[in-house]
Amino acid sequence: MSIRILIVDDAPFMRRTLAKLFEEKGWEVVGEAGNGKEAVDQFGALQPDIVTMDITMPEMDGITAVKEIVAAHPAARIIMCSAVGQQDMIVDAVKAGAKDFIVKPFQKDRVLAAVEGALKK
Amino acid sequence: MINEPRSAASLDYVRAFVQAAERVLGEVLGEVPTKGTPIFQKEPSIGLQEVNVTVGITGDLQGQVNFGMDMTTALAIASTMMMETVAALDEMSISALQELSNMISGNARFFLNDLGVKSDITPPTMLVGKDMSATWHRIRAMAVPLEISSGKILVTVGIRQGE
Repeated sequence: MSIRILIVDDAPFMRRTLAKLFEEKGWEVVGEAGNGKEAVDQFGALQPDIVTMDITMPEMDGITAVKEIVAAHPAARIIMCSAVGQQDMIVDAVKAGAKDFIVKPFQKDRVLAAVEGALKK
Repeated sequence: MINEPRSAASLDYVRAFVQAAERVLGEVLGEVPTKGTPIFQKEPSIGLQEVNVTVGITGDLQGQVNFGMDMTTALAIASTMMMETVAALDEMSISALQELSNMISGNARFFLNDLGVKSDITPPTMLVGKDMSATWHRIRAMAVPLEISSGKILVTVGIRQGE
């Protein structure tokens, strides 16, 4: 099954790292966004199966973007990407509707498991 | 008043960043760095390396942390992170090095939380060049060299209690 994924991160390196990982798995990266505002706009247009969402970004942070996406699309499946030390923000993101979180530096298996797990929720 | 880094609390803050750097470099590069002898900065200005990623600290603490290295080391780290040979710094390899500093700073924030200190980290700034120095306002810094197979990363921490 091909999974359609939107990657949201302000760091080009992180977007590329995740895109390579997903594409090696045979999944489709349908879009990339560099901040929360772009993510909200792209979600409506692309209707991805999964969103990976960074927390700290310019213009609109990831938690605000989760709130806006989930408000408009309650079935959205969003996985937060955080650094260690952002546990308080992860709690806020899950309250806002995020399905799971992954911690940087990423463990490949954990990332893939989070995507597959979020699809079952 | 200038903060001296020799107080127990200040050393704990320095240790938080060094421990975080050791942990993250171990995970990202697959090798545990060897810690060298700490260097106490006697002057307000610090000597920068050829490639520098600096983050600001805000919240209960104020200051800066600089991760400095030579170009060879920077390219080697970027190559490992990107899983391809990087011959010169470009947007993607700079992003990789900045993300590395973000991960280290995030981990340090975790250690600082354990000390009861709430802090935030500003987005990283990269400086590339030779024979550069920086002057940090009202802060004396402490630098800790971390040796890895491709060279040395100098972690320079200048932090004081927020006002």
